Amino acid sequence: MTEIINDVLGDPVFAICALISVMGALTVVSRRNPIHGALGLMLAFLAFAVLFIRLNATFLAAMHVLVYTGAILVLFLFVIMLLNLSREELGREYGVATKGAIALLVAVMCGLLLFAIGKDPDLARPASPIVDRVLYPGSAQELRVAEDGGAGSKPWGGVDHVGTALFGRWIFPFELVSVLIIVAILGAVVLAKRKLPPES
Amino acid sequence: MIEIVAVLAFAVTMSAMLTWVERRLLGLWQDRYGPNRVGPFGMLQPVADMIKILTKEDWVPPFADRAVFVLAPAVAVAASLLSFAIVPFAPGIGIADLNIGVLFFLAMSSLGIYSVLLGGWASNSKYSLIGSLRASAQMLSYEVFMGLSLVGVVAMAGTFNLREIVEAQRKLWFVVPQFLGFVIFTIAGIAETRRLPFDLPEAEAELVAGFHTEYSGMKFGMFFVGEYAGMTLISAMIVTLFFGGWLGPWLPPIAWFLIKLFAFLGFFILLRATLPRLRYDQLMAFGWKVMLPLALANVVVTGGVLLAARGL
Repeated sequence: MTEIINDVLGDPVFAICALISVMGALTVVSRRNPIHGALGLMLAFLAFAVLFIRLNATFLAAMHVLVYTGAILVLFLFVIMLLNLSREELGREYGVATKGAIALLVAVMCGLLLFAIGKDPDLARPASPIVDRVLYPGSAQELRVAEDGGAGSKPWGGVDHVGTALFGRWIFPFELVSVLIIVAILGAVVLAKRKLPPES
Repeated sequence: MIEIVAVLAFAVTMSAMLTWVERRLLGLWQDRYGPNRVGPFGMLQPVADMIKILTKEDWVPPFADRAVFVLAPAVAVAASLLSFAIVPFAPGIGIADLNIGVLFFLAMSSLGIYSVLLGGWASNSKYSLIGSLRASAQMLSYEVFMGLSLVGVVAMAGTFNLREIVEAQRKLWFVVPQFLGFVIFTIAGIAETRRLPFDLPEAEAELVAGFHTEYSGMKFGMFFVGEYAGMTLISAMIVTLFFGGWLGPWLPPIAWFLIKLFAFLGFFILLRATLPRLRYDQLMAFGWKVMLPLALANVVVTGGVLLAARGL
């Protein structure tokens, strides 16, 4: 546990970004105004992008800003603005008992998470071998060598590594996901069109 | 450090001077004078405008969401100025040399939507809201083709690094093999900066001034700086990605970069002087039914040709 705390304090960029992302996330759940909540989410997302860069995952960082911050969250805002809910429509606040129960549940879950991290500190460290194990099961060893600064080796997490992993080893799940997304889009279109009056 | 200050100064001065250049050129093309009173040829007009805009009352409407209202113009300027970090002006001149340069540019330009969206919403006025909804739908749509149109360039250069992309154009500028990509990127770039003929978000005949109707003083000025800096940025990216950046004979590299940059800025202004505004449904239909298929076809053909050339 102390090892992890030292890790965090020894890395100010990580500490600051982690703080910003937690503050952003708290804003998301604590604001009554949904637009302010969405702005908090944007703050958290931008902090995540910096954390990705710290993990050497530059491609992921760029994609995170481009897709999540630049497109998906904009769509959130778009929908919130179109609905333009008034104070009454947002619903009444929960009572103290409900709030307390939720707070307790969250605290227990955070405790479990900290306990798990304490058991296996590798889980919490930047550029953890866990990422290697998941992304490159066969070649984790040589990748870690490259990361240590072998001459002329490109840092992992760049465009080429993500591309090779996605379209090489993981091509089948990748294609499955794209089929899933197309089905979801078609489903959304069908559901949206269903309310149209029958053609006369 | 000096480079950062220099590039910032360049971007901001360019945006200020562009307002004068644009008005003079529009005057020329529309058979009138344009601003010609302040200083030689009216060149000090931006200074006069700046003094005016800074001394004007900086008013926040009482019905506005104050915090978001103030945040929006700051986002507009920050998003376009941040992108200048990756512009390769000449060998050795430029702030950052990122391996993901192209993606960084796309990511920053996608953040620009927030300024429009938040500004329009925080103003709490119907014209602003309609303007910002139009703007965000338009920018979201055209961003898609903007990214897709660059896939061909990236595939041919084999890198996302802007400096390596320029170096890859030593033999032939990418505008020749990637002409379709160039056309799509330019159109998407104009839509992204919300300039004529794609300036529906601020169509003054129907929406007063669109998303910045309620803004005054320097907050309005910051939207203006953001727009002109964005225009300079798009021109710089066209030059870098399709016209060989700083490459050219005889003159020093930075001169070539600036010559090409100003040529495209002039082209943007010429478009404004020439073209009428589109209708909103035309804009959307054109984007999704013409540009998207063309951009996808460009990706497929470029990929196919590259694979064939490698003898697979």
